[in-house]
Amino acid sequence: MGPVITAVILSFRDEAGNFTLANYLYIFKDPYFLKAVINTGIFVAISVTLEFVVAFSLALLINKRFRGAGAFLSLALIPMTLPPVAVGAMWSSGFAVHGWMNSLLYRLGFITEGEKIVFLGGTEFQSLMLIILIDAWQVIPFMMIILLAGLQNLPKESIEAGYIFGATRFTVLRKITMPMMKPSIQTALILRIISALQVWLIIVMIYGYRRIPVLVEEVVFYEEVLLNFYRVALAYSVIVSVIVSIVAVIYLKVSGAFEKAPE
Amino acid sequence: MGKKKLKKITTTTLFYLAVAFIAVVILLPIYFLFSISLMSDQEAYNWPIPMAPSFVNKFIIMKSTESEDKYVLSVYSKTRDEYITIYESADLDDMISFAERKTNSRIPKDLLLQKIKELEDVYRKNESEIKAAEEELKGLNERLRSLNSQIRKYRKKMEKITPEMTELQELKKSLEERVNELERQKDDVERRISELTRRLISIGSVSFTVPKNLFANYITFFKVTSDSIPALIRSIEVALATIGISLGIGGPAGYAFARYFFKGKNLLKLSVLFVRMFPGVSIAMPMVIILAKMGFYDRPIGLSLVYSVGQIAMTIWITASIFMGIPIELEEAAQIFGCSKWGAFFHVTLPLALPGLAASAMYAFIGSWSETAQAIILTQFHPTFPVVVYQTLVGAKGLVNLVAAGGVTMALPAILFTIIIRRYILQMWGGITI
Amino acid sequence: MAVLELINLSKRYGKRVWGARNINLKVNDKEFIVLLGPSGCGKTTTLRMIAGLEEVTEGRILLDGVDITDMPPRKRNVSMVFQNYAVWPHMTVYENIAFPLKMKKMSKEEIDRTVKDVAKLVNIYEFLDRYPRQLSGGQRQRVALARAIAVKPKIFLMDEPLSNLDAKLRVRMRTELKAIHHKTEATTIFVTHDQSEAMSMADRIVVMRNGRVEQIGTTDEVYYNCANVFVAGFIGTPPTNFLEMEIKRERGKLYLIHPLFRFELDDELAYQLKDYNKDKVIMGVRPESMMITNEKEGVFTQEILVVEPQGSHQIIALDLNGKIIKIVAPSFPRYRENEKIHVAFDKRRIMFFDIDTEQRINPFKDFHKE
Repeated sequence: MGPVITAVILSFRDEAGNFTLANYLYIFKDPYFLKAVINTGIFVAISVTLEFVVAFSLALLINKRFRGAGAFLSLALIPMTLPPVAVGAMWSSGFAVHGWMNSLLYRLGFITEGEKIVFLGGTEFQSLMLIILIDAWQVIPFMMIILLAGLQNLPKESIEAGYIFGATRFTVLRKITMPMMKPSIQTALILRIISALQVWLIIVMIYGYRRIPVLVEEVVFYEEVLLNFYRVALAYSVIVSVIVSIVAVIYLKVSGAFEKAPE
Repeated sequence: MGKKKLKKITTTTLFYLAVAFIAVVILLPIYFLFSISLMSDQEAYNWPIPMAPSFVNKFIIMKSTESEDKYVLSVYSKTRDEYITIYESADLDDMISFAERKTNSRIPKDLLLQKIKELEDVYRKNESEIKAAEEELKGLNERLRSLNSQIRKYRKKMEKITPEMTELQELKKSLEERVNELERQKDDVERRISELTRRLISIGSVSFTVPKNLFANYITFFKVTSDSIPALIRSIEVALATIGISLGIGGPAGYAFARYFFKGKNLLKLSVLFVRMFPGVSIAMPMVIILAKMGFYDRPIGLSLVYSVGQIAMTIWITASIFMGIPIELEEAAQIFGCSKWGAFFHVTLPLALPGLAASAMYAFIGSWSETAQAIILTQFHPTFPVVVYQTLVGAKGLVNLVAAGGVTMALPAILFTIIIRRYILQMWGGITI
Repeated sequence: MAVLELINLSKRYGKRVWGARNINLKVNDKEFIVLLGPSGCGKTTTLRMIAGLEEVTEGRILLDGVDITDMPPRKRNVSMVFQNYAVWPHMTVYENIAFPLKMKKMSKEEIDRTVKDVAKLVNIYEFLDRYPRQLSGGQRQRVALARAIAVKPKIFLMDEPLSNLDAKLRVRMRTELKAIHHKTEATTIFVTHDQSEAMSMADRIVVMRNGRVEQIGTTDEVYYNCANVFVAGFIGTPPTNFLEMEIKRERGKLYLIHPLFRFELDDELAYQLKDYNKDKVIMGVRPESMMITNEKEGVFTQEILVVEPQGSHQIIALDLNGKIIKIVAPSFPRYRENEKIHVAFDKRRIMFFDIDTEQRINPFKDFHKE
């Protein structure tokens, strides 16, 4: 807890050590700040939704215990455990103009030599979408595991009862499985939302700084890149923490789960 | 009942198709990362990138058309299906080192000399043919050049004629025809040129293959990127220290959690979750100041301390569930049958918990090994390995294969450990069994 | 010699929950004692205190006169068979049995001999090299047994060892355990909630409820000479029938009044109630102590509610003013539902209990008499 308090205190100080709001004002005046907030917001919204849907579907898929499900599961684990720098290397080499992505498409006949897709160009919005996909690649297994665990712990009889009493597969999914999965779903969502709010490394690795500003990225930017602005960075990080906590609390309140007991 | 079976077959096929698709999506990028890391500059900067790295390089050596004592070295490119010239020189050593850098193949000098001798023989045999072909080639190339400039001129003229100038439309059409004619001639010339080139190669060159050093990139990476080997060592140091601290504290704590009921147990569980919630990065920065005061800034110990703070929560969670999985009766039985409380722990609990503890150690290792964000902030001149790879990635984007090598080095231990402990990861997150 | 004494043994959890309260018991050498009672009655707690796995809050435990209350388990010279066997999964059967012997620092040859002897005794000799996970439940149970025997302790403790076995195996193991007890002659304390198990195995039974001892006695004593309503109702299947009766004294004779009948007490029975001054009493009669007879001898008459044929006997249920009474009768003659029967009591087997305290009033002294 100590470092947090130090951070907060320092963010309110200026060069001479006097109390000041200058650091915060600087941030609020910075045009990138607003962009960062918006970008982060969009990222979180789309990313979490997308990942949840895919992860849940995968979890359902694997839960069917088809032949090879075990191998498939191990496979699906791998993206989760790769170090972020490896992932960054992987995708930046892929999406470069001469990257393997284009090469593959070319070989498969989807594009011709003159039509190489510039993945890394495009508007800020398109780039954001790309990042969402790249991040999803790594994060979906994580959510999938939590959801899968929840699925496996469901009492089979409750679901079977649903089928016996006439519901279709989809209805069973909606009305029986999902409500019973509420705790797992909540865990997966809240963990994901919190990390999504703090996305930065993958963006920096592929796009560099300030191309798609997001909150934490700005923090690191001010800390690492502009060394003397570390107080601004601290102020930023306080803001980020506040935002994360607010979001977390809102989420918990809305989902009505303040008694969290992870098993 | 045929209909039902058909439906079943289609569903199953679709099902497996989906599975296969996802498997591809997962494996493809990893495969490419790995294969690119093994490719030479020549392969990697080619377009399109070959699907798999080659194990050997096929070279040809020809006599230079410019001067008598110069030789032209070309290497075979799979994607282009032709030989690409890489170096022209009389200095053989120069040629060898350049070739090595570009293609990751070191041509042994005596092999080169031997081939040159062969070349001289071949040349002498076919000298007249070669000379004739070279002459023709020169002529053709000139022709090509003039054709190209003509085409360009006509095109420029055509651009000037806009659709509104109705009188000149006729002219434009005739220009177009002319251009098309020229294009056709150009095609012929180009075809002849490539024919000739191939002929020239078959009569005027000597080929040889040299095995490629697949791991040259890795070696280069470690030599070129500053600090990489010390960084690697530091990463390992930090990871081990983190394991030590988090297991040392987390292990007994987990045991206490599992066996004893004490006040505030639920509170602790909640705070474990809470710590995870906090953005790690924002803690990192004030930690800089604190660590600096303690003298631990930019040193492995400092880093492992910070990592441990994050890891301990997870470790306690894991070890607690491991110990909870060992029925207390086993320990009690040991106590009845002759052990003290400690004896019971060593003879019964520990052996049974060992696999789980090993797994959590590996998990802590991976966590510490992969941690990039905090490392960037908390180190300055003594970075850990992921920071180095990160800097290379951000700084020198173009060196794709080099960066890939760094990436694979990072990824390898992670993948290895994951495969070993995959069962435990699954169990830990909620008892998944397949 | 292995004599165990529990003196005022008590165990408290937290501030107010008592697992066991004032347990007093003397176990004689070579005796097979059963702690019997429903879940939560404190039998396992008591056993674990004897083992040293639970700290004693109050009281003392003496083994052959030596106070072992504060000794760690390994010094107490006891061994235990757990309900879930507690066989160590990472050791082979051989190692499991040898472990305590190794702890005692016996020589290798001695250990080997002992292990093999015990394994033969318990019929698991073929499994010595296997791991517990390769064995069935019953086999694992035997391993636990072998391990406990090998140590040759002064006291054997068994915590519901047969509860996890299927019914047939359970019955078989009961006999085997008794046989082993005969052979080893070791003092044994056995915990169970199954009263028929207790009855078939025990020399003496300790009936417990809510942490306290309700009665200590031989099987006959706790069956025919119950100390209170609980014991009478817990032991025996089908359970004792309890009837609430009003006491009327008329013309020097004692009558028990029930809404449906009236029962005159002869001198012997009246003698039991001579010091009892309340106007209501609980009368307890076991199903097998009620007979179907003719109108003259019958105490009451009632329609049969349900007949349950059990092969060797039949159980007849009646509704007596809202209360279900069960009678055990020989298989023949076969009765039918709704048949009216006349019922009488075996006077020697009637037990009276205080209406408020539920304690037994003036127990028999010589019930063995025909």
